[in-house]
Amino acid sequence: MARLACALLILVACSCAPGAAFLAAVLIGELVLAAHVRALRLAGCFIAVLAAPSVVLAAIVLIITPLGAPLAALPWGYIGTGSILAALAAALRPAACLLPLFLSLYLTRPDDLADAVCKTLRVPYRQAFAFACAVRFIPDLANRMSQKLEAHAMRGRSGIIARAGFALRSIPLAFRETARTMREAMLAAEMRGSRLRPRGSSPDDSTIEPADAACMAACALLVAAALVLRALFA
Amino acid sequence: MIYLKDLSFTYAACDAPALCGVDLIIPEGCFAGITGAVGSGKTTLARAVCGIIPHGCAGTLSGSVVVGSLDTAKASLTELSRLVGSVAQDFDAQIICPIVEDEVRFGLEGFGIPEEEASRRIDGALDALGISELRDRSIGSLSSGQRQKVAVASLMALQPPVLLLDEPTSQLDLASARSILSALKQDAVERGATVVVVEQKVELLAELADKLIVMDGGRIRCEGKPGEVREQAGELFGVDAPQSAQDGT
Repeated sequence: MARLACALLILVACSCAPGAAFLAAVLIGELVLAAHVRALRLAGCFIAVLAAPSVVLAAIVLIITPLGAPLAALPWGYIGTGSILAALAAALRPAACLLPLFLSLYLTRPDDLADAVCKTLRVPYRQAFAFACAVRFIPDLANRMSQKLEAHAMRGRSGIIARAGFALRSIPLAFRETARTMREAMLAAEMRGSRLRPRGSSPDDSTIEPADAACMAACALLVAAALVLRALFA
Repeated sequence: MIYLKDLSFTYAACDAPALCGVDLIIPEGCFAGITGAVGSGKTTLARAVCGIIPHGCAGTLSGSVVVGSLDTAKASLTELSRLVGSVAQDFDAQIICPIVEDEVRFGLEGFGIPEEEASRRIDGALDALGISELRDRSIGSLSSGQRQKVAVASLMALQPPVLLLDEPTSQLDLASARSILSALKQDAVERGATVVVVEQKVELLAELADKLIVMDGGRIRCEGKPGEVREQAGELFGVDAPQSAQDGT
């Protein structure tokens, strides 16, 4: 739970952060930590999934946020130097906010995660384990979509509109396939005694360790820093 | 012992039965191989033995499957899990932990194996399959063949009385496949476990199996010692079947 608490604190800090520089620094720190736990490739895949929506968000912010010295006039305002910085922050924010949460959910063992959800939220173990498995298979869903789009492109359908239409049509199929895979995973886990697992024996069931407390304190400081910067520069 | 009596199964979305009146006995301690053409019912048979059918597959089941003293239709998957360990054809679907050692340890914790014994079993399973150096690796960084070996190691560490593997060497070269099947054979001999392997590498299976079962159209076409099966279903081994076998006499 300490790991999840840190991830949530970082999410709050990045949500409050006013500028691209802060978000870029936090994101670099997150990637360094990901490399330390040998999850850099996983982090890269997650950022790649967020890339398209982040770019769309950045483009929207760019054209609706007239800030700083004007660079280009628009009928409803202008694009300025501040608009570019705001767009950059909008592009970085999703990854900076969500990457720690995703990694902590993905790298925590499903049984530990299920135990934690079971204890803190009083959810029945079967549903808690299903949630843990669902998190584990998010990259699987993204991978399936990516493979379908790649196969579609190799058949000569490479236009943006064609790809977007195909992607929309493929989403339900990809969801069904991933749900089937997840269901098989839960059956296989039951065949390996997941329901027999003694509750409360998880290593994460312990009280907060000093290292965990230090991490949470650092994340709380990050939130404080983000709030101070927001007050100073907003 | 595994005992199938008049087993038939039709998947919910299908009209044609996947298994038709299968009668089969696999004695305790036997290394049995199941083979056959695509769509012959091998995986369905494997699922029926480990209890996925009927607990995890919608469809119409008739007949019975008894593993040890448990009827798979009446016992829960959790009860069956103490008796049968399995590796599915889609091995990626059953890998849920991010690190190799965690994945192999998962089942051992579920069954309450003490830490010292669990560590010994993990070491043994990884050594037997030649993947000790992958112990601390992220599952996502492994090749499909390595992930398949991890799935098999997870099963071997559990040391169940019955091991059931559905195409456990599909992603492996012949040498690796031989080493895995040999490791399973040795494990079975040492512990007296019953091993059931669904496999397309028929020649390799014939080298190690005590009993071969050939499926065709949801039925058992022939079964017996590998030499006997070679006489009756030689085309699986790349040789023409004898005329008497082709005539069905």
